[in-house]
Amino acid sequence: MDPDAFAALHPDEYVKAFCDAGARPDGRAIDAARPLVIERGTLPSLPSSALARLGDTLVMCAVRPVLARPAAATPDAGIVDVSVQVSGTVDAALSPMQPGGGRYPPSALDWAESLSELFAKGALVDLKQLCVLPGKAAWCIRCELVVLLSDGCELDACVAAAAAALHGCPLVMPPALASACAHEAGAAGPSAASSLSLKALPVPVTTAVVFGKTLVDPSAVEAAQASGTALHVVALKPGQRAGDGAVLLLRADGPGADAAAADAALELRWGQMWGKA
Amino acid sequence: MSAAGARAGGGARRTELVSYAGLRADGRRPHETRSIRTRLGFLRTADGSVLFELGQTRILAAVFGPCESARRSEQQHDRAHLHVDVSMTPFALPERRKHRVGDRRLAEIGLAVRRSLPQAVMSHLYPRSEVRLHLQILTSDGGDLAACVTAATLAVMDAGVAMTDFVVGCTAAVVDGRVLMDPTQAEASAATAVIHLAVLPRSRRVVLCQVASRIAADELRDAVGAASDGAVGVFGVVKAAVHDHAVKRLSKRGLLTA
Repeated sequence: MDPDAFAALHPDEYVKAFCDAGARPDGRAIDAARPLVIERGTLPSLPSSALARLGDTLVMCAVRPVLARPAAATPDAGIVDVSVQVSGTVDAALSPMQPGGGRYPPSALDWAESLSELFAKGALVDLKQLCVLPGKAAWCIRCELVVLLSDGCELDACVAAAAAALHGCPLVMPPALASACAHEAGAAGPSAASSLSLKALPVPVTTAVVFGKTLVDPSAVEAAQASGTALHVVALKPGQRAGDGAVLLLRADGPGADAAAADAALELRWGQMWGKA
Repeated sequence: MSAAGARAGGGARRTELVSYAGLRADGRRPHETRSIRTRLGFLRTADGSVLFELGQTRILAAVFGPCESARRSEQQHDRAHLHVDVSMTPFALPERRKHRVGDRRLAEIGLAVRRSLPQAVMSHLYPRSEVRLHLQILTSDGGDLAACVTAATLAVMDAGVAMTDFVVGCTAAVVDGRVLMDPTQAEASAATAVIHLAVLPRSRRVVLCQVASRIAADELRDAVGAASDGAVGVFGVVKAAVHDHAVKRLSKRGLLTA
């Protein structure tokens, strides 16, 4: 039988045959991740943007900081607002995404929630640093993601794109506001132009248990057969071993995916993401 | 011209869109389009795709098909059905707003593409099938409709669908009696009239002409002339891009010997 026809008719048997042989449909080793390619500044008309390509998964992230009044409960903290949208270019008829899910399918809301957990709660972004004048003005960082293509591990690509776009995002006050701030707070006031820096440089990796084997960075075909998947977002420093990094986010779905299998992939991917930064 | 002069004199003063030296805010002359960049085959899993940049307007187009119609009701016995879907990213415009699926601006762009593209697509070669076209406006800075038409053509071509000609879009704006080719958003919003044109550039046949406001007959003639000249200019650029991409693709498969 034609391999493509077999894959379409019996996706479970197809993936199982590969797993039993210790191989994968796209020719990768069991513990190899797809290369993560980050393109920064893809949209030059916006303050900060990044495009993350993970095999055939493609995510665009745009970051736009605006000045706003801080929330009443936290007058001395800024806001990070994350949203995820699925583009029409992810063709519903061909992708494993729920058909008829619209621009904001349940999975996209789920990804936005995980990203908020990571970026909006202060683990990576110092929200106090975003405050300009306590109670009066703070940066509201709008981080908007669009999934352009989907082939498994969309959340990994989202985390990578968002982190790349947020890190080093310029925070420039409009001149009128800058002079008003200088007048109000004196010399000790906030500077008119600064840039956002993440507290740690995160790197995401997903592992999936498929027919008893732990696969790193599963593609959509493999993820559909997984009994359990786990996403780890780990903060690493240059030269640090993956095992020593702080786990910033762990999202497990189903039993038993082990992050230790992905350590080598994690270190490699950290270099791909932050090697030049 | 006299009416335009009265308009320019009567209203409140605003920033000059065309300087005394005859240059626009971004340094272009009135009859000049913005720089164009195309990345054909941008989305690997789509049958055809392109990232089309017209200055700061960026359109991502993806084509799936020709394939069997998903819905029987849309199936046509003698030709392919073209399904067009236009969406906009939340960061496309300077100020954020909720984009509903039924956004009128996007629906209008979809309709314009659906009307103009079949003029060149040889859809009778694909009976009972469907071509799905998704247009994603990544960033918008004027000329969205024209850019969408051009991007749609490139993506459909990249998918290998037979076409008799390109369909190229171009916009022209009338500002104070002067015709500006390919206006930016700032210029288009200050204009008294904006003309959207889709042209088959080889025959210079106009397949779509949209004007949303009143315009004097002589201004219309000038504006249509400028937009059609612009479209022919854009055609030169995209044709070269398609040619380069085809050569690259064929030589990669070893089908082209030097």
